[in-house]
Amino acid sequence: MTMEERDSEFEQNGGKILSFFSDNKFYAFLITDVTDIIEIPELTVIPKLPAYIKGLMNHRGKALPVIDFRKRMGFADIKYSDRSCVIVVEVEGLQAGIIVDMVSDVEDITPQMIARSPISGGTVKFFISSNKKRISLLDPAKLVRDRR
Amino acid sequence: MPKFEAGMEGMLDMFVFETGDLLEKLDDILMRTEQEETIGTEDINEIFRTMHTIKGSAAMMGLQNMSTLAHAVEDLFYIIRDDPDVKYDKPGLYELLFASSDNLKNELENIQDDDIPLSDFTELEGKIHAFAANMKGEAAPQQSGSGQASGEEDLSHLFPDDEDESILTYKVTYQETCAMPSARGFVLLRGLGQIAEVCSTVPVDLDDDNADDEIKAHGLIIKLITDDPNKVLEFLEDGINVEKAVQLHKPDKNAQPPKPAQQPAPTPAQADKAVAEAKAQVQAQQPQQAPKQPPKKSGEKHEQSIISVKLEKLDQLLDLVAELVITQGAVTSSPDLKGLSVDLDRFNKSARELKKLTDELQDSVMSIRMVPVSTAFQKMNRVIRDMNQKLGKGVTLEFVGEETEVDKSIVDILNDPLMHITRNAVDHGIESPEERAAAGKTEPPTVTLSAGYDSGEVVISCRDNGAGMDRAKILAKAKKNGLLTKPENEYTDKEVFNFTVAAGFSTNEQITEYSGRGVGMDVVKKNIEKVGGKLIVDSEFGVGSVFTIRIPLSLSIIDVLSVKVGQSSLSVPISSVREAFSCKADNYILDPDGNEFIMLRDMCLPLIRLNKHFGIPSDVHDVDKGIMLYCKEGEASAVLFADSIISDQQIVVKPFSPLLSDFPLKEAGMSGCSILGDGTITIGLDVKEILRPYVKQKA
Repeated sequence: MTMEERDSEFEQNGGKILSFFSDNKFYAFLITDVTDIIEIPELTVIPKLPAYIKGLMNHRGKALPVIDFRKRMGFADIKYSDRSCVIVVEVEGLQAGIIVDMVSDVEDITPQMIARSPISGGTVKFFISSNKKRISLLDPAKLVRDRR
Repeated sequence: MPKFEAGMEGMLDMFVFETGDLLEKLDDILMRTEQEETIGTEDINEIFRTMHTIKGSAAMMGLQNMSTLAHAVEDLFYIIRDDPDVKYDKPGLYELLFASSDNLKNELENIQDDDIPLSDFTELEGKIHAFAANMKGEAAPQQSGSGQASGEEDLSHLFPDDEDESILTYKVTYQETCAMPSARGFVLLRGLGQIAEVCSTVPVDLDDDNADDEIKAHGLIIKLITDDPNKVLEFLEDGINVEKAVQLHKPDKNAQPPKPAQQPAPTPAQADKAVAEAKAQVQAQQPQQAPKQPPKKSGEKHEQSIISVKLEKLDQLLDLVAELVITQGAVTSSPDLKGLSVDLDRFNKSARELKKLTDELQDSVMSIRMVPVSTAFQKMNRVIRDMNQKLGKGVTLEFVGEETEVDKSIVDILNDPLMHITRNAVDHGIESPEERAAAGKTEPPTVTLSAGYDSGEVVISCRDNGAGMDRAKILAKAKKNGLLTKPENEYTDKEVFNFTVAAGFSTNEQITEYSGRGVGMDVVKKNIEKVGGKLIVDSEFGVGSVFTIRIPLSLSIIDVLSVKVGQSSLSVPISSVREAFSCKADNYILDPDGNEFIMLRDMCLPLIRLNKHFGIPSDVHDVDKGIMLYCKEGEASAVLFADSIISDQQIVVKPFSPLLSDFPLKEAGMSGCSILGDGTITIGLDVKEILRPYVKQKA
């Protein structure tokens, strides 16, 4: 299934998302994009990388790049707390970790809640209204791949 | 309709691999024999056998077009083999043979893509048939047309008196165009196994040489027991190339007294054997087994001692061994052992033994993947031959060091660049015979491919003794294409020649079939660089040009010296480290321009602070507090400065996650990372890249 097909299927039938909290806003990944949620592990700093890439972590014998979500989005830095954690996402078979303030919930989303972003190819694919809160559903490929 | 027989997908890989291999060998024979007066019997037999095998396996796969083409060529050689004195036009024959071989190879490539339809070889087949007819001095190429005369065949011999009532008899006839009905028969029997129990067939032995003719003449008789006769009939009718399938019934004995049967009825023992054989064939899942002809006489087959293994399996093995070596190190030098106050003599002895064994295992696994570069070189023979025919330059191809062994993956990488470079050498490099004569060149036009090792790299070069490159011409063209970035006279020869491999550059005025479009060389360069290699161009006007490819030997486990810089662990390949030493403050020089040098004995070497180079914060700044690594890579040498040495160890350097490929990690001198036994990550350094700015200082 291509990304496009998967997105339209989500738009039509809804599905599960993993929502998380960062800088007082809710964001989410499709649950199928997420492989693990782990504590922040020891990170190996790699020189010459932009500041939002915190380094590499050893995740099950693989060295995965770890991205700080706040830095990536250009939010103010805060100190990691014990609620901070790493969401491991999979993009076209490649994994990467994303450090977020805290994981919120796994939520069932129905098609009525979903509004597609008017801009195609943006970091946010869908806006979801659920329980009076707004969740931005992210494109992990965009988040991990794109350089900024 | 799918391209090949249903249920054969699993064999596709094998078929493509083996047929590709056969065609490769066929090309070798053709190349070798083309210049000779006549083709040796041995070679004729070999070509015949090759075509026969391809015909068979293609038929087995249901690839009718390949099968008939191979059949046509086989027919040609059937004639030549039977009558060694037959007269024929040899160049014409070889054109046909090469064309057939190329077409078959193309088809192999297309076969896995469902979007590309099966190619139609009828035209080529027509030519081959005409050639064969010509050879025999006949007019009509078709010689098949088996006797379809007697409509009333005597069937009684098929029904022995003591046959069980429940055994049903079917007759399958194949279309006349079907090349290998016996092979198709196997496939049918295999499929039948699911809905019926096959008792016997006529002909009894489908593997027999005469089975094809027999089936063509009398059809294939299958005796079986089943619950669902209609389904069986349906299945038989659906088989590829099946013209018709019917159920036969026992003739009334009284009405038609049995004549003395020409063909003995299959005895139960024979029948069992046939079924068992058919089953064995099916189980073996070898597309080629069915039609394989027993080798005629040249009995010595040494291929038996070679097996082909999927590369990914080998990679898996290599990965495992690499992990094993690392884990072995982690166990035997575990920090836990240091706290123990007990005597570890026996443990240490076993640990050394283990290390020896794992080292040996690693070496032998590595050697499995090694193949001589000659496999890549040989293919160029064909390129040169084709170009000689077209361009009439009469170029000879020479090999030097073709026995050099390199990793299989490198040979695969080399194929394309070699092809491009060789074509370029013949097309651009070598002059036309007239030009050569005018320049007073007497030596024959030659392209030399050579291979060898040099400081951990495989060096492949292609040298021609042609016109060489004209510096002025290249500069002019580069200027025209807007490639110049500094004044013309500041360009070194090397830089100028490297324009020739830049995108959109070709000095050949005429675009030919082979080169001149200026695409290709830059792609070649990029592909080589992708695997960490380099493409270097050198030339002398009037004397010739050399294209050199340098690719690092793919040795995934390397010995490194790991050093600490700030909080990071960096690993320097031991092969680049000449010396590790601590430096006294008075051997440190700071020149007025702010450059730092270290005096080591009589050498003055540039100092590279790793913390500064990589921008890693570190507390160690005084040269006498840290550790110096004197590194040398080719012409460049320098001293690297780190905080302290952690250890020397073996690591598997894996490339960084492709998600980081946008960032200039490689350019900064980081080749990858490695996870150590304790779970931490170390960064592998590419010293050559770090020393790059210091190469020219010597010159």
